[in-house]
Amino acid sequence: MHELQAELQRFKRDTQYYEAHREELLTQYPEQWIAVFNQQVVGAAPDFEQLLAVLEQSGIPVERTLIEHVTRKEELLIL
Amino acid sequence: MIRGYFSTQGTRRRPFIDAILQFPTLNDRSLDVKLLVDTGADRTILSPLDARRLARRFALDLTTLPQGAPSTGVGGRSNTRTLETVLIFDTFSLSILLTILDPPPGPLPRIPSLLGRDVLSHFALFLEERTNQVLLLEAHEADALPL
Repeated sequence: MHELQAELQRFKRDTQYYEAHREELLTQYPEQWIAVFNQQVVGAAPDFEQLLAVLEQSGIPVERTLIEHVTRKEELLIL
Repeated sequence: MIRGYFSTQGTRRRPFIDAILQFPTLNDRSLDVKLLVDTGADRTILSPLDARRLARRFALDLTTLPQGAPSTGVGGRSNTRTLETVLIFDTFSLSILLTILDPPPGPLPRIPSLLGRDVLSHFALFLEERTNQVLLLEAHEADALPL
């Protein structure tokens, strides 16, 4: 359980990184899917499946990676 | 107390909480997720995007999982699968039956995974966008509030 709690803290730093750098990321990767791991962008692609393939080729653990679609477009969610 | 945050997606700010999902029936493999706090969701839901990460990473055929009750939302009705899961927050873990939405034909919808009332019912929920606060209070913390 200690390992998972440490992993959760690591993942939280990645979500914080994304929130803190969102404006820069919008400029660098507009309308792209990006992957953040250890507070770095480790992959970007226009398509989600393409991004997963890039991560696998790079040996990045997909299950530990924050994946976001970087957009300024309005999308209303009513779930 | 478990702390979340408001995340901006497009032009909207939405409340999220980070968590780890651990799967006892998959040799305790686990998945890091950000969960949208959704008081309208009866159950905690793994989105098709996160399900795809899980399936691809662990070569898991989601169609082999037990079928769950169909899910009905504003967007329509969807078939589901279920998976025994331990949901882990900072200081709290809970065994749940995770609901996984079957992917629709075509591109995967860009909807997040949802933190539903099966988990939220264990907490008092405090949301304040003005101060960027998303808090889940455990029972003893909620009981101490002068409400």
